[in-house]
Amino acid sequence: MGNTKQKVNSSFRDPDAFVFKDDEGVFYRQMNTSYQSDFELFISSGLYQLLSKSEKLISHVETNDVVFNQSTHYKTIKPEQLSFISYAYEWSFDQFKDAAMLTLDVLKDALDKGMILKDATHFNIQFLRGKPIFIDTSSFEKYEDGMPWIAYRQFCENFFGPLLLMKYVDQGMNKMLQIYPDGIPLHIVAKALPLKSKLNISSLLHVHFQSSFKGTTKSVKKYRIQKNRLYALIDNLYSAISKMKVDQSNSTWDDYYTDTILSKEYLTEKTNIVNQFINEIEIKLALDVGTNNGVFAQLLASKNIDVVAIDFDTVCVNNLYNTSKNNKVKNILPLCVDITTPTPAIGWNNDERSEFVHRNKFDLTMALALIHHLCISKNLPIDKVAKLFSSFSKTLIIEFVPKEDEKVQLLLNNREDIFSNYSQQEFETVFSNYFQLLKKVEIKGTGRVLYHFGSK
Amino acid sequence: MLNFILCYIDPGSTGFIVQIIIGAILGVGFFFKSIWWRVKSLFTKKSDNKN
Repeated sequence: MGNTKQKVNSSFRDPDAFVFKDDEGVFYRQMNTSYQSDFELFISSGLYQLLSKSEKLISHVETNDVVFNQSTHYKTIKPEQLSFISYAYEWSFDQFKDAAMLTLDVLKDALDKGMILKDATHFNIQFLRGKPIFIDTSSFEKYEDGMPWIAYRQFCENFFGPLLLMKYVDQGMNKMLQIYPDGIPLHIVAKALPLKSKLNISSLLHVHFQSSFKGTTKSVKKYRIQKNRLYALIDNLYSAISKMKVDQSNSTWDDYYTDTILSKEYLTEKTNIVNQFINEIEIKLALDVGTNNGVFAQLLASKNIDVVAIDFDTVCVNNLYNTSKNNKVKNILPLCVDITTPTPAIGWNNDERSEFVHRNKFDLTMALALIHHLCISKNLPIDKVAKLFSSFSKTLIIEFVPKEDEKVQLLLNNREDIFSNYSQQEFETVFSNYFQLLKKVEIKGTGRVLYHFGSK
Repeated sequence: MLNFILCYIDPGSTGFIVQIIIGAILGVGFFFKSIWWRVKSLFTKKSDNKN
């Protein structure tokens, strides 16, 4: 372990505990003395054992010799480390749904063991081994008989409301959490939902009915709710969420491979070349930009590489999440991120939650059949693309799609060709300014070329 | 004056009041649902034993 410790920017609101990392990037959580009695109950009640065994909560080991702040120190834990942090505004519908159900599951287990969740923010959930996992080990407090769930409204604004918007309005509505990271206010959710949402008893009660209450300055601490009614509330939310479905058709890329003359031979040839490239280097964490149906993300995953697979198409991302889940592929993290406008840093001082492009360094970035969308559809100069990729990735596998290609011609169909600089020569020269060219192989009969670049 | 008061209203406070009302409404259905689960589990256990 290194000597320099740094408090994590997103961890400062809870006086009971905080997260810090050492200079090797290992994350720890310090529990303060104010959390001692709750943490003791958390362990002695068997709740930690129950949750960590079922992989609902991140497991940890105690590392009490690693201390950040001695004066308030009670315990330090080292949780299992995550390979990549993601946020709720980057998840697809089913990822979001699973995260919401997990939160209620954890809450129910806690109540069974005489504890309760003191907050229900979506930031408490991350993805590990293809599944959502609760990461805030200091979110549990003792349940006193009759106490209401303090985080009920927070759950509705962080999970239930956004899910209803994704179901009834658009699958990308969770992006609103970038503007409202503490949860989308219920009066906004209620206004945006269609009239038919009032026919659903759960959305009627938890959103429409609740949003009509304005809040009060009076103390509400004396209010009590029977435990079985709390279970009823949780059960109703859980069953409403578990029944939610969205339309899985209408993806932009649905027929990309089936619709094109390039199809099967192209795909096989491309797979062989990519295979050959990745066998030559050691990769732990890779990024697949414009992952489409995830064929190449799956190829990387099969080599034991952790893959973050991004696409702007929420349907594609959702399909990849579900396919990976069904096939028990545990090392792909699909996320709804548009590389032309990646997730910004948000929160206090604009650095509480990090921006997508500088969240991690990748050993490899893969950008297959993407460059023409960036340079021609979005008017991005090749230099800007190369510069961005080199800022977060050591190596790169990228496919050059020439102007004569049928897909490029499709893009140019209804617009003037102002892209005189878009050529293979220019592409190669510019990318070689940022990377070292290792290999290039033409995909037979297509005019497309696969490039393998290493760090300079 | 109105804005000043709004700043001191805790929107989370409604969560307490609302969950007591909603809990009471849903509690009735949940009561019957729990009975149904118990009855169902009796039969499930029986068939498990047979197996």
